[in-house]
Amino acid sequence: MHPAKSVIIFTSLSGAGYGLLIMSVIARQMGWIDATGGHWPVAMIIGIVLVSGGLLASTVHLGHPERAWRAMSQWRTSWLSREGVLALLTYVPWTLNLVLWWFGVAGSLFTATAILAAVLALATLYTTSMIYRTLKPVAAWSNGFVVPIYLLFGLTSGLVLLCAIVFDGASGATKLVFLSQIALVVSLIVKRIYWRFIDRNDAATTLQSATGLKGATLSVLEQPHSGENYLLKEMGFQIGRKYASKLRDLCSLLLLGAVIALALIGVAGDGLGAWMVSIAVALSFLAVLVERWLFFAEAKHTQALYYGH
Amino acid sequence: MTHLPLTTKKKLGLVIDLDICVGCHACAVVCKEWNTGGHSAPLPDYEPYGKDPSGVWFNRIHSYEEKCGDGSERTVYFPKSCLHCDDAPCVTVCPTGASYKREEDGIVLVNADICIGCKLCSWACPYGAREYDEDAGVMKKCTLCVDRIYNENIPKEQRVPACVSTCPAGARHFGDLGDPKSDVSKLVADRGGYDLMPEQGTKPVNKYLPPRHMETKEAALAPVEGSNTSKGLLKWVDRMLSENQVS
Repeated sequence: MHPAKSVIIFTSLSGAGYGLLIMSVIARQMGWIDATGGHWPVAMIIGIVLVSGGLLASTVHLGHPERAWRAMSQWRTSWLSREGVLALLTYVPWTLNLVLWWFGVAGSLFTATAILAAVLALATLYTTSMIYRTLKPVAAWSNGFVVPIYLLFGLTSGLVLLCAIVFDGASGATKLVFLSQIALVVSLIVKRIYWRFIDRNDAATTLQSATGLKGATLSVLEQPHSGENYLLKEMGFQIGRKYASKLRDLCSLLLLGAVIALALIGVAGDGLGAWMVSIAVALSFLAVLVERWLFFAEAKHTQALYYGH
Repeated sequence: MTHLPLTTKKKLGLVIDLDICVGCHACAVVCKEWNTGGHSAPLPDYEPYGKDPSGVWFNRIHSYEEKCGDGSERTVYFPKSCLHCDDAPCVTVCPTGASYKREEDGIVLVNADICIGCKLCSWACPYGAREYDEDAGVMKKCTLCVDRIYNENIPKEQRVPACVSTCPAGARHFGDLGDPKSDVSKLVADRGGYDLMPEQGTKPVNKYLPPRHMETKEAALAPVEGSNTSKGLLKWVDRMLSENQVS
């Protein structure tokens, strides 16, 4: 599948934004950060900016972005529609929570809006991943790995970002850093298992089942047209094994690099600690971008079989 | 409306005979021509006289070489367009309801007035039947010539999809595949017509007729019985005289 920049940026940014919201709410419930200080609005606002930037980026690849409001209508059948509805709904308790913070309203209403926003954010992440999960023609996507990995990477990138935001003084900062390291390592392990899975599992659909021609060997004689077409541009992307393997290793190194950077916080002096956590954020976000790019580039669509791919 | 209808009154579709198709591309060309007007008009061509021409086509003809287990080989021409599936995944993924399946005849269409061009339907279609029109910003696909088959402005015998009426070899057929008594259904039953990618679960309505099996036994003369009964010297003479014959 063609790795469209707008979709990669959308899923990476919104994943981190929703992840940041969810982990902030969890951290507050655990007492690791408190909402009376300045950390809370910074986390909330950065999350909103990331998600909004992502959603705007996703409208770039539409043919008619001015009609995008219509995408809310088919939530009964379409995961993309459900994602649109939930993404908009999430804004409501999210911004309400910020307003409450501004007016110094604490207590159960504040908590309720925070938790509701986090739940809706998680639901939005779920619907986004289900869009890919339910696409049967793409064997690399229609399997049980896709939803957990998408959620995991979103939460992990949000968590590392939260570490950077609360670095200067939240009581639970060390706990958040430790949790981030665990999350990064788990992300790496699960992702490598997924890559091994897609390498070893052949898709059920072959050129034989696609054409119904049961010959011992079946090959393309010539293509329908000598030029390119939309189908090949969008769904005929091919990536060499060696190149993909190098990018997988790059993603793994970036994740490990983020773990090491976080580990160095404790060792580093006062000024360097902030640098280390910022490096961790940059490395983990780059890892997410590479992972997203590969998620598309390594995915084969059944219709490319007709072209001999 | 992206709910699929529970049933459709008819299942209109095409039957494509891979035994007869000669790969002339007339069906692809006339489809392009018919759709310069009507429901899906116009089908764009990008840089048609330039270096890198491409465009939106509803019907594309692939060509394959098939080697069978018994050693026979053949070239198969493979026209492919929307199969108007019963369980069309392109309909249910559409977030706006622009992609829909008609209850009266089962034809799957795009409402270009509400399509936002998100391209998810083209991802959901395992066959590659849907293409994005860069100029109009919407998705387009085979309409089964819905603006032709019911069109009372043209003579009755021409009210079939353009590709069916133009095929010079008679490799394309049109009719109601939901009616077991229709000509197309009988043809499918007779020739063993099949679904493409049945494991994808789309329940395609269009059917493909397989190429007929070819006889490949070589013609040969049976050897003449009892021709060589000579012994000794005569046998040697016989053999010398027969030297240049291929035995």
